[in-house]
Amino acid sequence: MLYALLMLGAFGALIGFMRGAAYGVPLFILSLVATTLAFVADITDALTISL
Amino acid sequence: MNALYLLALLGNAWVLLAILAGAFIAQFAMGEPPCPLCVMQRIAMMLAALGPCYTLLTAQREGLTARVIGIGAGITVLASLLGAAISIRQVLLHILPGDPGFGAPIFGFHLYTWAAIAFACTIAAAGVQLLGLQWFSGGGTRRIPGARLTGVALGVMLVANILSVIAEAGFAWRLPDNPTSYLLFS
Repeated sequence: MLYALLMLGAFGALIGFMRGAAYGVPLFILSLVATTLAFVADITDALTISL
Repeated sequence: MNALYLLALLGNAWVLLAILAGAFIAQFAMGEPPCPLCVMQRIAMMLAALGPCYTLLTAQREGLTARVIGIGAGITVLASLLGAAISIRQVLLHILPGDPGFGAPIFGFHLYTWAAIAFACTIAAAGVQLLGLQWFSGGGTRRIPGARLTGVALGVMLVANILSVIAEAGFAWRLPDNPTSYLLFS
């Protein structure tokens, strides 16, 4: 579900670009930051397990 | 508008879409559901493809201005940096001698290695766009053939990946580290 939501953000950004709406770039940034946080969480989990 | 530049943008977007389609084919043809890092690389690649899509779609309305090229290249670079970080992490996870890696290799490399190469090339392409900003920008607004089709193709790819990840994870919040089946159907 987490990854589906991240992709939904990217889909929203694409819709924004296609319609020329102002929310396209902010949705892209939101999606990028959320994906980065998901990646950081993945690394942190791995670090916790290895420690 | 610079026709050659627009053609390069279309090529950039479609190469990324072809890689994503290749990953999809590998997923179903080889029966290998993607791992969490693989899915995050796909997300980063689709976010990177938003860059050329933004430039193509916005240039139709506002013209090919330096602002439009700059934002499009910025989107591509930021998403590709994230994608490169994720794919390099996966390469490092399987770098020890004797490690078979995750999934079957394609043309000698695993998909995450190809992804790392693709992200590096995409960053280089965005760098060229920014380098040629002065020459590429300018001209009025006009319909760009293929721009809308590229956006629709990326939309289809996004929806297909959303459905795939829901099938894989079921109603769980996260994916298993080594997925072997589609939890929604098991």
